[in-house]
Amino acid sequence: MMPKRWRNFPLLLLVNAVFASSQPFENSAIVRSIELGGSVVHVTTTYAIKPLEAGLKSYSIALGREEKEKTSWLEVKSKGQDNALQVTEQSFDPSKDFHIIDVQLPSAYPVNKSFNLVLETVQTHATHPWPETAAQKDEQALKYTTDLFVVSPYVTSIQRTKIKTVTPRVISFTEPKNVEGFAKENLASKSGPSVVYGPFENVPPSTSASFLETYQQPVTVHYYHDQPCLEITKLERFAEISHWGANLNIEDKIVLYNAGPKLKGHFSRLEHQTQAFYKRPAPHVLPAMTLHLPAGIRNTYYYDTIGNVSTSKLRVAPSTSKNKQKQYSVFEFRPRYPLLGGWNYSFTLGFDSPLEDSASYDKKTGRYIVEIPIMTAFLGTVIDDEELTVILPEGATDVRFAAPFPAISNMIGTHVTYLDTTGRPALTFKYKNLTVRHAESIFVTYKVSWSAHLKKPIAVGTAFLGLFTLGMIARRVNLTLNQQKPKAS
Amino acid sequence: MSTAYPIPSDISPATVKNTASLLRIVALSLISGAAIASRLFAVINFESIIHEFDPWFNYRATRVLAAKGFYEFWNWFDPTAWYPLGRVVGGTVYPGLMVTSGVIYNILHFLNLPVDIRNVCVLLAPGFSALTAWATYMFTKEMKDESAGLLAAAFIGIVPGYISRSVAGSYDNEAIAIFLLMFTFYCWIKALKQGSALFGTIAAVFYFYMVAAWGGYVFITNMIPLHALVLVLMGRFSDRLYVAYSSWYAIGTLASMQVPFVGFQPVSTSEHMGALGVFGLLQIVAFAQLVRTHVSSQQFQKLLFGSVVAIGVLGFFSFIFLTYKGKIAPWTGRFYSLWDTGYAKKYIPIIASVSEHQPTAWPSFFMDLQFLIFLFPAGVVLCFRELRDEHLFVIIYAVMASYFAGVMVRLMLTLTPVVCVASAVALSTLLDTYIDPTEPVADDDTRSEADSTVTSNGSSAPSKKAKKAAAAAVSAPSKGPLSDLVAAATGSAHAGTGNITTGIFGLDSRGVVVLNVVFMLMFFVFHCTWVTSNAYSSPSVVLASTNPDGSQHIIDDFREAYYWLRQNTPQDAVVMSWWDYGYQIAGMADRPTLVDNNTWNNTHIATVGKAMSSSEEVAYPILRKHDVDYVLVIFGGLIGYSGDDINKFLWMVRIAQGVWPEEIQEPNYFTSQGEYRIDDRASQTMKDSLMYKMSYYRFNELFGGNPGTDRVRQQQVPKEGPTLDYLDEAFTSENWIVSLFPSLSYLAPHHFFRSTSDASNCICSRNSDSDFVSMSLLVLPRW
Amino acid sequence: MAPKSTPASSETAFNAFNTLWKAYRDGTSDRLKFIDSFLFFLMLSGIVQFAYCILVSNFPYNAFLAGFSSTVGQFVLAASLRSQVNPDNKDEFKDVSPERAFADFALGSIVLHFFVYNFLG
Repeated sequence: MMPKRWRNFPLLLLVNAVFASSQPFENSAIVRSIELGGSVVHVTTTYAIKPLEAGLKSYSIALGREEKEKTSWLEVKSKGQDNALQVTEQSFDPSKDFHIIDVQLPSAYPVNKSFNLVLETVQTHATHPWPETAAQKDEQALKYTTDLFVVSPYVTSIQRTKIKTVTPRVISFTEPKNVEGFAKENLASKSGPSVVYGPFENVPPSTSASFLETYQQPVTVHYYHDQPCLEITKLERFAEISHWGANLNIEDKIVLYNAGPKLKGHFSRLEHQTQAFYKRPAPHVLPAMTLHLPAGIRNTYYYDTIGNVSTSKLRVAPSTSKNKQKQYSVFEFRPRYPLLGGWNYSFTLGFDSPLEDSASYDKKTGRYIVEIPIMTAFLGTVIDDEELTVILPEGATDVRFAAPFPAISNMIGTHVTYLDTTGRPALTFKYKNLTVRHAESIFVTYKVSWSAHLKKPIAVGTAFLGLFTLGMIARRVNLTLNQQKPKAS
Repeated sequence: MSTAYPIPSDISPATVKNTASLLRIVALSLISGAAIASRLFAVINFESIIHEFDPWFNYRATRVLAAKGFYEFWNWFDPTAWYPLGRVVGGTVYPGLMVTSGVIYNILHFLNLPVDIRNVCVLLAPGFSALTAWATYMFTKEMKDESAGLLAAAFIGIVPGYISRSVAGSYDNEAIAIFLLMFTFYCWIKALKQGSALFGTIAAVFYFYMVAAWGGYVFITNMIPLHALVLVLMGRFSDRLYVAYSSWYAIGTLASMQVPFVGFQPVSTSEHMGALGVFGLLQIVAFAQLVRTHVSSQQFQKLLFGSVVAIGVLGFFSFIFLTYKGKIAPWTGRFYSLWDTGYAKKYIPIIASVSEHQPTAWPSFFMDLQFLIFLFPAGVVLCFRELRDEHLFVIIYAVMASYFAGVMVRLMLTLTPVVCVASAVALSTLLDTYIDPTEPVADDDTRSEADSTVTSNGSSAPSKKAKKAAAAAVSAPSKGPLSDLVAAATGSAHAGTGNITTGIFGLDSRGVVVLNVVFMLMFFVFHCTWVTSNAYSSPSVVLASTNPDGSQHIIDDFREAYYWLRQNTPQDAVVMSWWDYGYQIAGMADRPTLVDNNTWNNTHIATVGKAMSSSEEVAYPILRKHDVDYVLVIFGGLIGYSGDDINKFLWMVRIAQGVWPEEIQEPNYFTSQGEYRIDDRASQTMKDSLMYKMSYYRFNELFGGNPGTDRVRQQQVPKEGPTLDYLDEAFTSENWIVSLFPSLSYLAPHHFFRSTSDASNCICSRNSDSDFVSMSLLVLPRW
Repeated sequence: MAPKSTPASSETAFNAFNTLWKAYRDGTSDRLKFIDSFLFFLMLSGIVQFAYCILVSNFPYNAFLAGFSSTVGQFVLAASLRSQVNPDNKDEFKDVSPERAFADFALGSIVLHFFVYNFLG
């Protein structure tokens, strides 16, 4: 959904359209490996591809419509390389059941020489609890559904799908039908924590309507999962830059929701305490979670509508400069009550950090550059909606930003706070379905002039001066009415 | 030279005056700082949180005011309180407190200072305590002088009797009311002294503020007329009194009727009639005075006197008549309970069930006032010595407040200011006497002159007096008991000698006394700090206990359960609980409640009491009828939290019995020996009651099958735990303090109180003399 | 506050009344007489309102209270002013000069009528 490089090259589109029919590539093998989790599912697909023509610069990857909807993050690399390749999404044709994504190859590969591309995606909201309710003592079982075949516009010699669960306990999985033509045996098998579909051989270009209709089919895995499925239904982050305080304040308003099976019956503290006592916590109960916050933070606060969350603890790591190895402050966050299936908990978490840890000043251009983390990494948790507001110092002009991935919307507004006179520019970004892979930073650059810096002290100083002057005048004016008295006497 | 120690004599009077005034300003700001700082223990030890019960309602109302504006607040009908009746909040509150914080909040936001409304509320009481210190300073200054004023300000700043109601987070009417009380009194004294209608008007305006802020305004309504009456009876009527009282009463009464909750009471209830009577009396007396200036006929004056008496008697009888006819409401039960301490217990159990309406225990006088309580009578005696009009006020105030403080714990609050004032007068007189550098001399006149001019800082003793003193021969008796004593003891030992370092006038004896006083003051400061930090700073929403390693452990069960309710139940889920927790549920859980701390409807409360004290079969239809979704129970048996519902249970029974005497009978809940037990020997009615069942539901299982021990009552619960047929457990907090039992679902906050610290013991001693007193510090509507 | 009250039923009372009236007329400055006439007017107004309330209706009770209070309040404020400016009382009001007294009176009246206005509803 949010591929890493998004530049669109119309030329490529054209090239691709020309070659689509004449099969410029052949997939010698596709291996898809799905790591099932609670709210987040990681999919790694390795394409071993063989160019059939020379000078090809672009390879097309197809994603099924539902799969595309679930995918919140997508990255293509050529195997063994660290740099992600640039991808371009073709406009979606509603009559077809798949999306085409073009990958710009790093270099032209020789004909008939096979090489590997690795597609990594993260899916959210891909699993659902089944049964939908569970008593406090019960296990948590989830269902995950995906397409049997990896869709590709090219002929595939051999492909295989491996679905791995965390616990080696799979309750059931779908046996594919009508695909005997591609595989003699082992249509589906289970070994330990994984279910394997295939290998299927000699699959024709699966983007054709006839193939999709005849052979493509959903397969479902029903499995036990022993971690709670967490969702953050709403995250509002305010990042406020203060030059006077040399401070970057970050405040998150978080609505946490346990998306696991809903609690059947009622919560029994006795049961909960017994489970804790025997160290057999129920899989769908969240008693606490550990968060990594930046190093060197101070004045950390965590509260909800009715006060401090006294159950939580924080260990702060000392501040580090930008280039050194990363360290974390560890925040052990324990909601007021254990979070059972279907329960909500909302809270606010905020901290100050030294501005020099995340900002720098470019003398040549006179611009400040500040790094704003988009989110705190919540492991295994999906953030359904995020609104990030970056509040710049009062008087900041010429604001620009560089984002690692595009937001659904962004806008610039004005925010008025602490003794402001004209208000501060505020950038607002909106995101959907963020996972731990999205925990990157936005870089904001802006200029602040000297006079803008001085605006606040001058305003406050003027106000006080006015006050004192008034006081001085009030003291010196004599309001007594009987002034003629001294004259008389 | 006859000064006891050298005094610089080359300082101009202007310098002395300016320095003294600068020192006073510095001292006052330090006192304000100390007053605010000592109230912040609650924030430092815990957090910035609203305390206890009533403040939660005030906080909630303030948030409505801040969010929706004044008119919305004024017309606010709260359908979630007293479900299904609802409550007209705008007309049933004293809005002064909320409006004050609302104004502060809006000013701060106008200045672009985005301070959270909660922090405004939490810090309002400490802020106003600084103002109280200032008002007390002004008041005491009128009584004696600036130095006494500073002492009084320091006392009121840190005295526990006032701190107990004004720590940070104690967001209640008293937080601002004591300042208003003292300031109104100050304006009254000032108006009386000067005969100024201006100060009378200011007094009226602050009286109006007080009426809008606290039910205790009735204290002012009766104190000032009483003072005026006593002055008239003592033959001290003056035109100044007329001006001060008339302007105060005419404007103040009209103003007080603007508050909807007070309405027409100032002209229709007995509590306010005294003020009206004195007003009428003053008019007559003033007229008589006027007439007297114009005629001197003996006969006429007799006639006049007769008519005055006749009108007075007529007025009195018409008052009785109107009361009898019902035009004037008789004294309310709350007032009866002030005169007859047994009255409430007999007729209004709801009032008696609140621990702060109990008579004060002796130790709490010492705890709240420490050595001031000993100085207090001395100060009052000193007032008798001078007995100007304003001293009379202090004397009357002292007598009335002492009585009231003895009757009700919470009225300790009104006693505290006068104790501080009187003690400051006494202590400052003592210090004046002993720091006064002049040596006693033979001349009476000199002595009295020295008495009246030398202040405690002592630096301004005029040198001409020293010369006079040197000229005088032998020491002679002087004025005042202390100096008398001194003089008697020394006889004529020191005659006109220079610096004497020994003997009763020497530096040593002065030093002993002064050091003694300083020591007492220091000890007072230590005591106040200790009491404040240990006893009065607990929010009671959050409980603290000590871990084995000495660190603080927070027991947060109340908020745990309330927040669970807030986040995981439908918005309109009705919660039934005993009324103590009504405001907290509304404030923290934001759910409708059946009854709350505004105990205006006894029947509704009795209904809840009946549901709690009857068997499940009887209770269930009641719950259904009131759409109850959850029942909330506080249970401290697991960690030893004594303020739980089982301990309050007898009050529920009593209140229910008041309405349904044939269905609920108190004796049924005792064992045959008349004991209140929860173990095997508990009566069947007790064991069948909903409250008992909910409290001990599955309690045994926690002990792995062994009979569990209730740590509050130190009894073993029966082996067979109670079973619930109609209700079910919905949520129980970590320490089992709060349990929620849904009536289709089930909600019982089990609170576990493992508090073993001294602090909790202190809280107990403060709040309850008997085990069956509810721990609530809730305010009933009228006060 | 002028010629009112004291049951003048008997002959002596009548005499006394006459003496009083004379003494008043002779011994009072015009200024005070002026205030007294204002007081007299206020008293009449108050009596009329009270009579209306008793005899006819007290229906908008707050309006009656506001009106009545305004007369009573104005009366006592004016009476205060009178006693403050009375030269006989100079010793009593050391801190209050006649000018100050009038300022106090004005301020008190403003506050009073602010509340009256608010209470009329």
